[in-house]
Amino acid sequence: MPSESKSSEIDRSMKLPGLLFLLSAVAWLLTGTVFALLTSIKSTFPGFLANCECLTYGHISAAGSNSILYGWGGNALFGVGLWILARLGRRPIPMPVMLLIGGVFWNIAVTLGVGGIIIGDMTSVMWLEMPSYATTILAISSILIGVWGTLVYRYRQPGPVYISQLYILAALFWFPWIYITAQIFLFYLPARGVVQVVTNWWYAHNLLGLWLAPAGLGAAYYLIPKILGRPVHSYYLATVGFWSLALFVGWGGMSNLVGGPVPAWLVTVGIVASVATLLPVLIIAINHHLTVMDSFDRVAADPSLRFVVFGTISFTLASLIGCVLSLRSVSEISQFTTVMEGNSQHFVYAFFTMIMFGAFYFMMPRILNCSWPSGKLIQCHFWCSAIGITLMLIALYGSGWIQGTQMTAIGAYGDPVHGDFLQIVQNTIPWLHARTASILLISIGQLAFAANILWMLVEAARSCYCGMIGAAKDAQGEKFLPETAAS
Amino acid sequence: MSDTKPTDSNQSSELAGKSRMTDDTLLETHTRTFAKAEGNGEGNLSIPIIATAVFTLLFVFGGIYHSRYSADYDPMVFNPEGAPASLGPAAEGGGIEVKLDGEKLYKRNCVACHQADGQGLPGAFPPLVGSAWVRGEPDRMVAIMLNGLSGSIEVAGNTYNSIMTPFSALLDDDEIAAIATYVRSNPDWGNNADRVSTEKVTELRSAHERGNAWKAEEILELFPLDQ
Amino acid sequence: MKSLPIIFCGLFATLALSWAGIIWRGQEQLGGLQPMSEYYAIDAVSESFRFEKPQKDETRNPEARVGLAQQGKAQYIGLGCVSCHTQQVRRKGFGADYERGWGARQTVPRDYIRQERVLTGFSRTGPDLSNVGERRDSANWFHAHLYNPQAVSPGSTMPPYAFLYEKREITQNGERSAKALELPTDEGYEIVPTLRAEALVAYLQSLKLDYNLPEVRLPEEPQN
Repeated sequence: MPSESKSSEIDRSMKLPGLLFLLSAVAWLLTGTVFALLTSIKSTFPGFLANCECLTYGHISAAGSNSILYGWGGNALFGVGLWILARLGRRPIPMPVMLLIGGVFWNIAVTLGVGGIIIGDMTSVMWLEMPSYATTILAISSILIGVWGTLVYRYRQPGPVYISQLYILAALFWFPWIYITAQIFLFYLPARGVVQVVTNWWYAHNLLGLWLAPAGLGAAYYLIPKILGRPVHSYYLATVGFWSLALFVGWGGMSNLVGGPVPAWLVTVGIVASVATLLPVLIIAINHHLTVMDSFDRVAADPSLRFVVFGTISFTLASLIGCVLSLRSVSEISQFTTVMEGNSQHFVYAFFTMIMFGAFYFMMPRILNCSWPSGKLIQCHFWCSAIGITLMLIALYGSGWIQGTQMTAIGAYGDPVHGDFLQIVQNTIPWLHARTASILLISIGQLAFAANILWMLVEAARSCYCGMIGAAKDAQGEKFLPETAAS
Repeated sequence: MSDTKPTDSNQSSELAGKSRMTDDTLLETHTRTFAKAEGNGEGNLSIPIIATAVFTLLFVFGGIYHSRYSADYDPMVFNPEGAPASLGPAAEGGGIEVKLDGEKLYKRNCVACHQADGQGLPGAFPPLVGSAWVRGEPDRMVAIMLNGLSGSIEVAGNTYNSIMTPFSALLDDDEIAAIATYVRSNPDWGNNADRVSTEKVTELRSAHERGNAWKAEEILELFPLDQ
Repeated sequence: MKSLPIIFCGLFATLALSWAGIIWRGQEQLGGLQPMSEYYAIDAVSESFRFEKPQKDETRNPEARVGLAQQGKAQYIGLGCVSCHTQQVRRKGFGADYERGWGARQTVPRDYIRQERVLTGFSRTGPDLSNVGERRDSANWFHAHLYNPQAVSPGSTMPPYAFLYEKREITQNGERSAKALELPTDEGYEIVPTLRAEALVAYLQSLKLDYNLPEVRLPEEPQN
């Protein structure tokens, strides 16, 4: 069949860059999780590893978020996104070596950046902590990869355009845009006063909403119908959803500045935008949830789909919670607490990362032409991740809400009810222990994931090696069947 | 049309292989439904009725919230519920009287020469305490403050010879008025002349605009000392 | 919707809209703010004549942070203190910043115009620091707290910054360094802050919200 051979050709063209992106993504995921674990332990046991300046709390918490966002998020997004673009364009990637170069430089930049943070060269600007010697490389390599994504789209086979292509192109285009703008306004030509803060929140909100989210949603739009063998509820609505997401998300970050040193209108605009974002969120929810509604047995059985559906449900929930958190009366309490961290973990881990796991489970066998060696490890990965992240969200939302209500409670005589700040800190500690436990659970899942991938690589290398011997023996006129060919 | 790619995991191979879409099928279905939707305006455009209601509510909420709390995009309003009060009536351009601290301004601008106690330095800087140059009509003192003074000057029987720099570019009218008022009406210094209004300074500034410092004689000619 | 230029125009326009509405408009409104005397009650937006007289700035609020305190800010940035501490006070009636004594007035955009990097922060795992220099008046308190937070504030989860301090053997003749801190340590040793610690403490002590601005004033002190 022509399409079969074509897709295997596409997969072959994506094999090396895909492996580079996917494997480094997993390496960064593990690194980031180690940092997150240390951070969490330190937040309850401040004396832990306290004499090492490199591993002081401020360094490792920033190193952790940067490893996850740029190391794991970026690599996973590029690998999965470009592969889906090529698949839907039905043409192999032109000159994949350029992608390899882009990917190598991206990873060099993230390594330099995270290393810089660890040695104290950090900027202390949220999610832009990397020092200047890393950011330039990061920006340039993201442009290179983005241009390659555009080329893949440009030279696609003539035919219809699918919603995932739009989402992934958008993510590839928006990242350099927001990243370079933020770098300029914050570091190269620093804006005056709080305009920096405004820029920082604009960037941070868009990093999730216009970079990770489109990639996750694009992958879900591709994987759900493909695996279920059924079109999504409404492609027409999907387009409306995409463009309204593009229109509203950019403004939403301002709601985080409530009560801060900015004019009230900025915050109001942010709140209105956050509420308006419910429009695309509901459209996406309709499309994703109605499509899988009556096939939950399939969702439970398919390893990729399980992760993807968990991710789409998390997207809906995280967005709804984010919308509620943006309201003034709620953010008065939740602002500056772990609730906000919980909401960003809800997006980054429960939504984006889970969908990417699903995409990895779908994509790896295809580019390696090999099946997953262990279903048990996949099971373990799913349940550890699902339970772990749920526990983490409960811990973060819970501790933050307690922290927030106790910090803002005012008694009858205008004095704070919980006047002792340190007591409030102590009240959150049991919840933070729960967070440490949840990260441990999550890392068990990730180890299962990494082990499965390593095992698969070994299998693939062996079958490749055997295949070569087979070809050689074929040439000598002997028949030889590699034992793995049976699967 | 089954996908002959390797299955994703061992235990679900049967299920997975059965009904996967290829990329071609995915795109074809997509085109078909899209065409249908554009053709008759229905097709896949179906939005659940509840969702439509929710969307309408969203926009109503957004509109009301925005018009209520955007505070006319005023950069100085921080509490959307409070009055845009932070700047006071002056924000509307009303000529309210601003209370400037003359003593503080004197200490920042004048003490280097005239000293904190207003006694000046013998031979160089004349005193302000009990000085006839300071008392009476404010014009004399303000004119000197605006444009400076150079050359010898006789105050209370002593002669001083130095330069006073002009302050017209450094201080605003209300600041000069505040300093002059402080000096002229300071009871500790034995002065109790009238206060100086900002308008007076503005008037003098435009009337006596000049590029060089006064000489003592010029001043005395324009504003003779009260006897 | 297939043509690449149209897609890119759309992608560019949607994001550019939010950029223009937020960052550009914000820069237009707030980027021209100047330090001002608290006694000025004029419209801050149309203060165009201010630009002609920058030489008066040194007496206007907020004042620039100079010297050791400025170096200390680099330490604050490099150690990532911002991950747990904010530097912004919300207005009275929104939250309880005022009631907790974190600042007698809210912070406004003008408070930050002289800062090369604005560190308003996003997390209050620790208390707000906008006014910490007023709350704690002795450098020794800061040193003791940085060296071992739990000894000074029992129950705190702040990590110790003992690596900013040197543990030195007291010289033969028993002469202690002039800078040595009064902290319990081993017999025959003393704890001396490094230059980094001194800079950091100078920075923390310089964090004061003790001045008025035309748009926001400290509450009048009660007359007694």
